[in-house]
Amino acid sequence: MKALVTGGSGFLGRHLVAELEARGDSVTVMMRPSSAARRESGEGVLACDLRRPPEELAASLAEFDAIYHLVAAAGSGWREAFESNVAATENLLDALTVAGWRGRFVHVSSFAVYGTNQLARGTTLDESTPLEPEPGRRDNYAWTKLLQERLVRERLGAMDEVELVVVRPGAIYAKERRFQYRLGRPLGEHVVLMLGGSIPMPLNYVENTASLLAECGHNPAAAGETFNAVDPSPPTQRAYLKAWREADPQLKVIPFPLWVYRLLARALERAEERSGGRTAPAAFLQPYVMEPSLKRLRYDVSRATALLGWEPPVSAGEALRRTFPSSSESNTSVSRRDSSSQL
Amino acid sequence: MTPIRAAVVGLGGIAEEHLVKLHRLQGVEVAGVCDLSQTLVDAVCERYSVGPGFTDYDRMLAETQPDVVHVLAPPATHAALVGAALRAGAHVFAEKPIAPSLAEYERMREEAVARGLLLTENYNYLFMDSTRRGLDLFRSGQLGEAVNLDVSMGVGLGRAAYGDPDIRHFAHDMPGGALRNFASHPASIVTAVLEEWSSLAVSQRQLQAGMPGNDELRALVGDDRVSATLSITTRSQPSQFTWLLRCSEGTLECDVFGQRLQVIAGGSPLSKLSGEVRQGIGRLGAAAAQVGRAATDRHSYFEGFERLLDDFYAAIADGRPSPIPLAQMDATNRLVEEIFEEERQV
Repeated sequence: MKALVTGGSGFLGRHLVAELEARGDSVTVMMRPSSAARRESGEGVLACDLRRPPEELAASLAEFDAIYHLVAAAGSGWREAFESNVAATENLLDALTVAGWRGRFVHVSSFAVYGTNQLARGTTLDESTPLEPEPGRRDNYAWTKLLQERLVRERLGAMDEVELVVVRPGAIYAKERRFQYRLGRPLGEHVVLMLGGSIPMPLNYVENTASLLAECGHNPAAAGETFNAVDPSPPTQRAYLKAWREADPQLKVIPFPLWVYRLLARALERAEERSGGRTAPAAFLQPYVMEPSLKRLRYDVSRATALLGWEPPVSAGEALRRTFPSSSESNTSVSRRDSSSQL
Repeated sequence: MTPIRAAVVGLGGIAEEHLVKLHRLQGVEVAGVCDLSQTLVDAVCERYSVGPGFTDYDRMLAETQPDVVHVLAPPATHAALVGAALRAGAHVFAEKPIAPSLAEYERMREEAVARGLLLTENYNYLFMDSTRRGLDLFRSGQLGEAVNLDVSMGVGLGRAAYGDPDIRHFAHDMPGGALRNFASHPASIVTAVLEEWSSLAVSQRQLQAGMPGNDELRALVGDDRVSATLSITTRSQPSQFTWLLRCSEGTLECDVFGQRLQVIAGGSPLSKLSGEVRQGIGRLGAAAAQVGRAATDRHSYFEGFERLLDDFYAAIADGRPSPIPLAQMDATNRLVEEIFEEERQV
């Protein structure tokens, strides 16, 4: 199978390319021209910035049987998020329309698209959970990922020869991406302000995400379906940070009670109302923005297994071990002592 | 009272600041927003609860009949957008730089004056509290006459859109490149003190590879009595904007982004002591304000912008001149133009 991976040089993209190649696919990575120029070889590379694609993009898409759309931006201003997540996707969809493309399109969406604020504590979140009803109140990432998924569904839904699969990963993690906003706030390279501690985090080990995406590109039963990508047995924030501290004794964890955070956020929200919007709290102190990351929910991860017969290749325990490999014996004992006092 | 109807054209990154602040202004309603991308227009209308949205600018002007148009598209498009707004009878609030050349600015100005409409370029930093208090004190004459002025701006553009190797930022295509995109801010401080000048020498350099143009500018400007320096660098972190005005009877030192003004005046031990105490209290206040900003979305960069918009819309409501006098816009645009003229370079 000939596969194209947009964002293929990124964190998830590199793992997906390896997974697809292991399955015997011929993989082409779409990357920005400046990144492509740094590669030793141009083989397997399609140099293209989807924010300003070349006119000939449509012609170069025809050869692919499957497209995995991973391009995304997080943590930037609204316009940058819009350009990378929405405008870039729209440009790709325009090119597919011009090309009259046919094939399997695997779109990487996000857990951020769910209307988590509207869910009661303890609710089970699955693929049927309603999407965010008020996108404008969420952060730039959630807002643009919602617009992106909406656009993909509208445009590809009108193309008869395209089989769309949408995958919504939880928080993707690996050794090279340990920090997750579901933990709280980073206060420095080795300092985490932990908001709460006992909330289960819907994590997805990067190799499991890549495996599910590849399965969705190949398995006929995936056509037209939507899958969440979350590992079974989500660890709590405290368990995750404990594993981290054991691997990195320098890590300092400052616990911060969630109820104090919520009280502060609500006080700032009321101050905003009283000031007519002149003192709007920063995004990380807006309840509607932060609550989706801190809500205590359950996660049903059975759909991919039931429909595709797919199982995550890396167990939750093994994924944590790979993310936080143990340091030397002496360091380990120090970190354990430290972690018990901190956590 | 009928609300003032504002329209916005150009939904780039700065549009958020305009839309959020317009939403907060009493007596003002957003009549329409416009950009080339329908998807972007729809998204912005949804996100900021504004509308209707347009991709056809002339249609927006005709259908919404705005009282004010905020022109936020790249500077190369301003002449056409500002001209159409003025001909439609709307006042104009334009992002800086209002035009990529003095000649284009002067044509807009002429049209606005002929039609009796306000034309204002966004010199938001003049309206930061610290800058405003400092300049008011200078104008009051309490510090005597100006002797010299140093204005310095450092903005870190390496990681931002300006350094994107794949998409060239519009600023690089103006004479002076990215430096020109910022020059009106320090230039507007210079022209607040020095309306005319008889000499100008400029040094521009590219000290670091990675940006498609110069990243450092130093200008020396003056007349028979006052001299000023204007410096911009686009590769320092964190961003900082300061000015120091020495006068015959005192000195003003202003940290524009940090919102701190230091007044050094008087020679008696008692006045020095009271000055130090005032500075200490001022620094404590500035530190508390920084904590407040960290908890809110009041970025210090844009605090002056909110005040400028308040004053601009109050001027429209009352039929008064713009809070930024045309004479200062003239001087600022002339200074920026001259700074980037080839014969000024040393």
